[in-house]
Amino acid sequence: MTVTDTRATLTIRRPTAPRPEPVRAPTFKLGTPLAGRRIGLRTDGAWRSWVLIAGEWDERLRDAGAETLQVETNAQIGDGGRTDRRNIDAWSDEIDGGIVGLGTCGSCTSFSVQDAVALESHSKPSVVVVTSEFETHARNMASFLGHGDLEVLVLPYPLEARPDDELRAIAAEYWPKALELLGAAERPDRAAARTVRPSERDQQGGATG
Amino acid sequence: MDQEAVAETVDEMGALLRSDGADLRLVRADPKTARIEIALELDDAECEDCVLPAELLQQMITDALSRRVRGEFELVLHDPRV
Amino acid sequence: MSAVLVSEQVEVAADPTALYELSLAEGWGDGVPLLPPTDDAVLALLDATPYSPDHVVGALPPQYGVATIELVAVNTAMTGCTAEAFPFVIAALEAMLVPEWNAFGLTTTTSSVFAMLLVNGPGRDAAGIDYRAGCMGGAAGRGSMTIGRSVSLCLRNIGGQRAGETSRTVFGQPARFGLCFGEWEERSPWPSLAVRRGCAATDDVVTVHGGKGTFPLADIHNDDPRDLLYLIAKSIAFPLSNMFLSGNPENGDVVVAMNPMWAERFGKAFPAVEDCQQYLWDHAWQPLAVWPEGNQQILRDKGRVDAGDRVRLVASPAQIVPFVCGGLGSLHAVALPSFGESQMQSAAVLRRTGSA
Repeated sequence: MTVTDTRATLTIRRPTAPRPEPVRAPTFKLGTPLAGRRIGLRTDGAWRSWVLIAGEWDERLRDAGAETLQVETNAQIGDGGRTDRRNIDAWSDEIDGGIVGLGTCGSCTSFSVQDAVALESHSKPSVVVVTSEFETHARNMASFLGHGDLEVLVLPYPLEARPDDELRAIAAEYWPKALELLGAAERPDRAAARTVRPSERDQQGGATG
Repeated sequence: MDQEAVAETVDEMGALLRSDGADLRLVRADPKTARIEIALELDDAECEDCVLPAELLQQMITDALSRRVRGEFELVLHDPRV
Repeated sequence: MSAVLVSEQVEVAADPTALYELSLAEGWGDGVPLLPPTDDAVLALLDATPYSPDHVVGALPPQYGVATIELVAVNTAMTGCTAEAFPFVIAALEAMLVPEWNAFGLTTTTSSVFAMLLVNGPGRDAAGIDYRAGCMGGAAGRGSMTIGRSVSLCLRNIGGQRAGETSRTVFGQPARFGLCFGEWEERSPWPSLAVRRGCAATDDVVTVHGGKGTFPLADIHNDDPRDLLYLIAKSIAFPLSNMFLSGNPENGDVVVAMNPMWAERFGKAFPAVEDCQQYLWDHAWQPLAVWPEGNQQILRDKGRVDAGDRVRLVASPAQIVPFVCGGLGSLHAVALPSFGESQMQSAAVLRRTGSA
């Protein structure tokens, strides 16, 4: 008969790395109207949807009197990746605040967050734009990078394959939120309004903004 | 690769050919490449065609080695008739 | 060895299933039974490396857990990896932490990509690394099965990479359990991968490739080396390859694992491996018309379409990487498709002087 000593134990070593106390880097708000400020938009060559939305917001920013500075990233590694990260650094220096997108896949969310964190590390207001499927991932990555309070603007998912008119509607719908997260002290009516461009005026039958 | 097993197998298979004046010689059994090279010797064979045909000989040697050698191997048979 | 271990100690019942249950409950297991990382087991591994236990290999993404040699040894001890093979685990992690491997992207992507460990050097056999029949699964060499798994556990437990949580991988892949295999250098008509990458033939080297999976290729009809290579080239340039998503075709490597019988034929047709790579590159493309109109425009916008309306898989022949391994049954090759934004990295295996 075999008797098993149920009291026997082993001492093992825990295989997990200690998790440090989360570091929450400071966040920043624009705190002023957009007029006279320089606002940056970071696009990623991968997502046509974001290029369109960022283009819409670029126009709205300029309509509000801001100067805009766009930067496009295309690579994660190699010469292209190094150039992109240097460009983000230089861009961060030159602007008063910025909007970084788009996170709508795993690694592009990680890199969007990384670039938004780079901007915030320059003590500038920073908003990262992701689609809803990747919100948790974005917040996780921001936390892992020590910027757990990074502002995250969440757009609908899926986004990429939507037709242009839907994307323009989304751009309009989420514009006030973008301003809010950036901390732009725009009047709500001014935030919603925008100059109607001639092409749109033609479509609207001559209505003016 | 069991070198002794290879050598014994070659000798056993060679014995089948000696009545026709032929024999087999182990050139090399390399465990690193898993190649077993064997040469068919026909110097004393009066009738080359009387010795087992090349393809059949290759198959018989392969089968014999498979029973003694663990794992995959490639048999390279140097047959002067081919 | 008189090292002092600093990792937290845990008491667990000696019943073999207790450790397994604990690993599942606390989330540091990979779903398969583990061996207890006792001090004896950990110290035996530490004895095989010249690094001190507190040496930091690096911070593993996505959660940037600090990978000390001790912590790597604790995870390795759980797999049954031998002391002989432990330095291969360290080398793999060192390679993965080179920025151009892009661990930051690869540990968080929706892609199935994971670290695939390709091993060269005279220490393959002693470490139990498979490079013959069943080298990618089935041969059950102790080194192959435990080195890859050790790396995987390190990514999970130190880096915090967990599918569905911090890793957004949609499918994962079997290599997430661990994939580690070697090159059958003695059957290759060319210099080994490690030598081609600038390492010494006398070194044991781990090259880490960010591979999306194992993509099987087969032909039973044609022995002509150029015909076979042509078909391989067309096969690896499949339209939904990650390489066609990217505007940076200069990033990324595609490994083509060739069985020794085919490799011998390829070597006779192309005695220089660079010529074989060139031939593969020459044919690794698809006509633009393969893609629907919307995708065609995106490819054009990314500068991927040449004057002949061809879309090449990669920017240069060097990115198609032959690797000779597998059994003697011929008929097959395996491609390890690329994630794209990752370049394979190599690290030499370092052993404590006097270790085997």
